[in-house]
Amino acid sequence: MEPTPNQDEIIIDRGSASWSDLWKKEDYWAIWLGVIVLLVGLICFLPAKPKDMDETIAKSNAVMESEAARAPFKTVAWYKAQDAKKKLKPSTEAGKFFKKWMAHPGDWSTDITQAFIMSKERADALNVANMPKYEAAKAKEADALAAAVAAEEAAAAVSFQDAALNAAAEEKIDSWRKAGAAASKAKAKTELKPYNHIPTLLVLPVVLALFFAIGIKFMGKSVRAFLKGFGAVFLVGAVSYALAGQATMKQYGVEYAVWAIVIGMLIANTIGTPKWIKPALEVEYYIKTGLVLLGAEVLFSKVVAIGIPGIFVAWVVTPIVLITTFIFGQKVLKMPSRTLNIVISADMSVCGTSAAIATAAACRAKKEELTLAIGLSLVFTAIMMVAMPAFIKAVGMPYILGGAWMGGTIDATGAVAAAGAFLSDKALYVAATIKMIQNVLIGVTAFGVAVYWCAKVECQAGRQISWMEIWYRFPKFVLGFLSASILFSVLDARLGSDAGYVLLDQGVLRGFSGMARGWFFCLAFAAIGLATDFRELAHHFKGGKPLILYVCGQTFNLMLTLAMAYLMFYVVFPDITAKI
Amino acid sequence: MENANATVRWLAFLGGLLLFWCLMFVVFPAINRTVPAMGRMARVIDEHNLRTGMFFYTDVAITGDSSVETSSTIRYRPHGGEHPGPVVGD
Repeated sequence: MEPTPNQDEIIIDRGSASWSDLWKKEDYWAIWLGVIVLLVGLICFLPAKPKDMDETIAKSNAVMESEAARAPFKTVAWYKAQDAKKKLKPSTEAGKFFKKWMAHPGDWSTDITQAFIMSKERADALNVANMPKYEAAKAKEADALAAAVAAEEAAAAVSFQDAALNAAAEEKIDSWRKAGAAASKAKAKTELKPYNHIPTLLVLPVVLALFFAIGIKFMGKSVRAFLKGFGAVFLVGAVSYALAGQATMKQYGVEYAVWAIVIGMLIANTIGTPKWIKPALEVEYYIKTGLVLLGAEVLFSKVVAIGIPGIFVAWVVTPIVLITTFIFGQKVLKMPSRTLNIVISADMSVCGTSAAIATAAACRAKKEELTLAIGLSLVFTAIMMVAMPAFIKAVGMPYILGGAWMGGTIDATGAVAAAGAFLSDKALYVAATIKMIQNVLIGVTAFGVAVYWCAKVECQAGRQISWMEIWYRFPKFVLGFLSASILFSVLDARLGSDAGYVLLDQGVLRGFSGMARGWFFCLAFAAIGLATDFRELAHHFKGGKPLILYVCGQTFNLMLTLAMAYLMFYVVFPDITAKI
Repeated sequence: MENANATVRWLAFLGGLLLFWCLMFVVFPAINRTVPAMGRMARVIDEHNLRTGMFFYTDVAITGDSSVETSSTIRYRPHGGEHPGPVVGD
């Protein structure tokens, strides 16, 4: 990352732009490469409609509508119709190809080789061993379904006029859903397939190296030197993915980003990063390309997934906390670095690492500042993931309120899901949905920070900045990020929420571009680690102000989010809450 | 560390790897055993096959199901039958 200009380095000369920037500048190459990936995804997945998709969606929606009109609670038929929609997945040879050739090392417990290879014999043995548990869960589900149907019929027999029968039916249906979820998880453990990621890990770095080398060539850098060092950066990334798949690491949220930074820093600060690797340490290049792909995952239609309560909790509270924390950091704590302040503020208030990445790139923060923000987020995420559900249970808070609270405050989506799942399925769904809505705020945050930095921060006090000057300084990759977001949001709206979920969400994004984005960020974090000096990192933490900023901001976030969640879910829209 | 000789630097590197190993197989499992809340959370995470460090919604499979569940509830909110009163709860 480029150094943040201090008072002595404020830009006073006018910026400039030319047409050749389109093929010479890194920001534009991030956009072109991102566009290539997204176009490939759209070409492969948009036509890959599952068989009878439209009919299944129409039939399911009709059933849900009629059941909603018939009963005061979600009936068995309502849920079965919803499940039929959830089962729709795009099926395409390209999808299978990408899944195989972009796979990262998998999960393991004590034997790290399991992250790379699982033999057919082992897969078969595990499937057989897990079968009795699945059969027991399946039988339990069948019994629960029979009980749910009977209870529903009893309630329907009196036209749903008996509150006690309705409550009993809802309880039996809830038990059936829980039994079904358990059976589904047990079934997944009987369908393990053998895999071998070694060929992928040999071929993928060659493909990625050549992919990024296109931009390196046009940017006037040495392709040869880049290619020579890329393999080592990829190796750190692959090892990071492998370590992140270890069972205990999954529990504590020590993901590939953390491992890539930590392993990279260990190498850089002990044996030293060899000089021949350095031309491949293109941190910003990898991150900006990854961010353009991330933009496609920022779908504005997700904002209404849980109605107005979700919008208020995720989109009203978050900007208030972000701006307040930033001002607190500047005026009260007097943080020495504005970029560190805004990156931590965004990290804590929006959605953790992804917000930190986008904000850091938008304001050109130092890589050490990004590393510090991610480290703070990791530590507090692990604490909050355990402490918040325990607190919610201890004080008897309603789980939907608790889910909304955790969704709006815990940084990482995975940790939010875990904390929600700890309470109940409903808490999980609410928490994960609120976090998803917050994720969408990244686009607005990155754009806002970029404009603010160009217009206000990177200029001499009292000097007027023209719009052209803001344009010259504006990080252009943010336009790629936003354009991808707008394009995919429009596509999602045109397809409709159901078809959009199947073809875009499950198809293009989770089936292809999300995997590419993961690898690009992994390369970026490996490069950050390999280029980071411990002493620089420690310098940014001096005085503990970043920690104080995070703690104070998160405390405010916790209070405001809880208040807003209670107001929205229990005072203003209790009817929505009642039906969740 | 730049001024230290190669042996010291390699020892430091191996020491770092050993530290990672200890965290992974000794320290964190010990926390799971001794802190009941973390132990229970670990079981929930394993049961749902979650990766708690995943930071974006598209990285976490269950967010897909969650968004379908919640948006279905908003679009097709049950309102049939005579209303004996909404059951607001978990």
